[in-house]
Amino acid sequence: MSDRPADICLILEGTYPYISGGVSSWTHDLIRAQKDLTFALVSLVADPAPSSQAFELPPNVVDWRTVSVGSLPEGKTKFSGSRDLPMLLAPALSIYLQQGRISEFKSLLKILAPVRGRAGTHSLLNSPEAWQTLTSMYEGGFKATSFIDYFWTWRALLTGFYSILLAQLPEARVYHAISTGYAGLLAARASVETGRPSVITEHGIYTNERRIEIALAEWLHDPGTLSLGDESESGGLKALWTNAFSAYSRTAYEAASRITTLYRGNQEMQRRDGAPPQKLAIIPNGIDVARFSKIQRSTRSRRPCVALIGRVVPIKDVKTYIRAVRILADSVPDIDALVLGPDDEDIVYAGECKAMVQQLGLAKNLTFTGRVKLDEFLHRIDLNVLTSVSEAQPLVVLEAGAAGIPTVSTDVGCCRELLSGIAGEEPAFGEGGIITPLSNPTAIAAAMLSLLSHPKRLEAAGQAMKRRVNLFYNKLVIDKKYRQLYDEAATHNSRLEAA
Amino acid sequence: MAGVGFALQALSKRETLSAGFAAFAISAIIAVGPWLFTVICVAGINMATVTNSGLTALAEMRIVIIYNFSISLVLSGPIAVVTTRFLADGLYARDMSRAPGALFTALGLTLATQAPVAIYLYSQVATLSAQMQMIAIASYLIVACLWVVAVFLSALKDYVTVTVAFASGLLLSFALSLGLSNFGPEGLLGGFSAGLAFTLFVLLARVLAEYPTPASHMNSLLGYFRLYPEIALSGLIYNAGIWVDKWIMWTAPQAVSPASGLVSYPAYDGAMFAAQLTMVPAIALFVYTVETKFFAAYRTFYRTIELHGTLAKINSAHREIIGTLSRAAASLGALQVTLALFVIALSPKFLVLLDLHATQLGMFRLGVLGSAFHAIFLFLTIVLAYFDLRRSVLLVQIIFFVMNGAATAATLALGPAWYGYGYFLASVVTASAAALIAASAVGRLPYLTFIANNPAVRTR
Repeated sequence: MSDRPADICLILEGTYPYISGGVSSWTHDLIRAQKDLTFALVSLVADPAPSSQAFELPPNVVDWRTVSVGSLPEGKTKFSGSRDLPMLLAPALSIYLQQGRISEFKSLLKILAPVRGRAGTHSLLNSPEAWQTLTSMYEGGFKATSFIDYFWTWRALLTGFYSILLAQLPEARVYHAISTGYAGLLAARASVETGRPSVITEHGIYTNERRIEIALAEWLHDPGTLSLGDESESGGLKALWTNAFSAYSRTAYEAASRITTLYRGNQEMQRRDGAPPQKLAIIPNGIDVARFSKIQRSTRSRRPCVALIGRVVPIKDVKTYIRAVRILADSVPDIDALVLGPDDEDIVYAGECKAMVQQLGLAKNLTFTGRVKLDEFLHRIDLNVLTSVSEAQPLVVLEAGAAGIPTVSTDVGCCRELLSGIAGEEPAFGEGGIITPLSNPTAIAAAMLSLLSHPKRLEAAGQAMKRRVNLFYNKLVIDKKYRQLYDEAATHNSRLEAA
Repeated sequence: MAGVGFALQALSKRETLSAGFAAFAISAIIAVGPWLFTVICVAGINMATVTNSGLTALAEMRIVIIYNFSISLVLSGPIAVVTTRFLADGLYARDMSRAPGALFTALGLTLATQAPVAIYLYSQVATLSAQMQMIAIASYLIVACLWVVAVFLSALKDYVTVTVAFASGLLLSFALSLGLSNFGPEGLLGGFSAGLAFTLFVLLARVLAEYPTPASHMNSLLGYFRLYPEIALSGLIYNAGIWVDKWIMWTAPQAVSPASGLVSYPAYDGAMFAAQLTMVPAIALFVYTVETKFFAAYRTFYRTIELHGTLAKINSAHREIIGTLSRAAASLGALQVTLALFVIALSPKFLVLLDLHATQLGMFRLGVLGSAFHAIFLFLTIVLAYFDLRRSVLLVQIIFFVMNGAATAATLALGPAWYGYGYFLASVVTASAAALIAASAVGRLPYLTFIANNPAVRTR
């Protein structure tokens, strides 16, 4: 622990350093890349906190605390103003959870700040006054809903909300939340209370993920036990949750000085959730360009080679790739098609794919390599193919691109951006491949053929990708962008202080 | 995916609410059964004693029985009520496999804790013949075990066996006492105890026939004492409250101090036991009401919550509970007041009928009035127990114990004209306090159910 405020406070929800995964690795890299900055971490976890961590904290992390959103401190049973507390909070709370305006959020903070350390489960959830607040909120819009479900929903919702409002915050110059939700809410609180800037970075769009999750949550609707098997009953509780998460995002967006995401497509959803357009920025993921660009393209004569780089799982739609290769093989009989990636994750699916290869008579054309070192294959691949039905910002397109290999990709995530450049790309590098519709082997085969049969076009696309990746998706460049983001936020703050 | 947001889903599937259903559905019988048996026994022996007042042998046997009943009832109280809770939870979970183990644990505990008391009392405190000592100790332990075994039978709701076993045992007791009266106090007490032993073995046989599984998990009952210390304490305080006025009155100048050294005040005890018999119709009425109308309303309330009812439906079930209780309290009060007035008006006649002395008239009348209020707070305590409000139950019992003790001690100082006012005052105060506590608790029932008395909330 340091007495000096950290340069950056990262607010992490359900990820680093407890859980391994994409966002966690990204966070770890971010901290290590900004060696000369100090970091404070706030890890938000469900209750109870995980007992082990997946990452060892880099030396420039000077403060780390864990906050559980699944439980509140008990607090004191009685203190001055404790009886009035729930009633005082209720009006702003009801409006806030529906609309997510920062004005109500500020009033709630103003009420809670003086009683932090004393307020907790007793005064906010368990007192007779809290019960009255609960029943009047129920009467206010959930009259026809199962009360016991409302009761638990209300408790869980308020436990999460108040845990953020009561948590201890480390001091820092800039607060950076790596999602909206509870993390974004805590960043907003930090910004409101300390006057320091807050920044939001979203990989996936939190509110959207929650919306899908809540819509699919069967536990909120259990027709076997509901006295009236009416959709609207649980619908009300689902709406309560979705509205609350939307409210948290809205507040986080409103309080933030900058809101970044990986690619343009996500910005649509951010705008829809109330993010002010002038705050939006894109900082994509970067790759180690030096490592991939030093791969020497093989010049010796060989069969034309295409590759799908990825795990053999349904989301990658490997079957469509196989069908496309079948069609391509009619025009390019000696085509060498690879599937580079582990095939042990969904054994049934992988088995079906391999059977399909036999049935379609592709045994000589199509090879499953299993898990391999990508660097050893890239030199002889002419074209990268991505048939996925869902992606965000696939790193394989960038890695192949850095090695000068163009891509044929379905229109998912930000692949169009990666292949064609963002609108008004400066300088314009041109097409780095071809975008096709989803699950369309004919179109994908045609795209592959059109590149393979025009070596010049293939070469040009490869070069376009190489240049684009080098300029826009170079990890060294991306690291600088985050540094700029922090610097800019800090000046934003000094402007505020000056004003 | 980032985000904890929804790791919270397990919440709505959590086990609901209080221990609830049926937990204390058997408490009414448990609370009043042993006491009723005591009253009947002692009143019966009293009548016999007064009739044959010349017989010191009968007096000696009578005082041993009173001591046995009063001390064993108080000391068995914690074991009996904690066992009640243990069995009620087993019934609720539909798993009675631990009942035989609990039976032996409860009996073992009873014997281990009370044999030293009985041995000390009859060998050190009292002056009795060697044979009388042996019989008195045996008799004590039979009675102590009886209270505990009766709990198992009540849990079975086998009231017929209980009643028949107690009634036939009592008849046998009186018959054997008479038959053996030639052998002096030893014969009388031995005969009486044989009758009680008969009851004990009938009950034991019935329990073991019901639960033929081998005894296992002998320790699980012990865990309940740690889990529910309030209940154990209630069992002690409740029975001590019933006896404390008598114990204090035994130190009155008018008390009888026989050669055995076992003091008592037969005039006071007799008047009070006779007076408390007036509670029997009220007890019958409220046992019936609690088990039928109140239990139905009670169950509707919890089922409405668990079957995802709206708050409006829960509130209406709540109002139904309040309605049922108010009507029950009103009819109980009306019955008890009418009965009390009737008995008081005719008390000279009752004196003759019960073979009481004219000096006992005042104490008897106060006892009848006190019993009216005693019945009311007994009823309210059982209602509180149904809602698993263990602290409230304990509070009511502490109030009665303290008031009965303090007020009786005060009347003792004030003189014979005041004897009986202690119990009367204690009953009035306790009934009023219980009414306030019950009204406040039942009024806040939804809050108590969901939050204050909900283990799933409290432990978080």
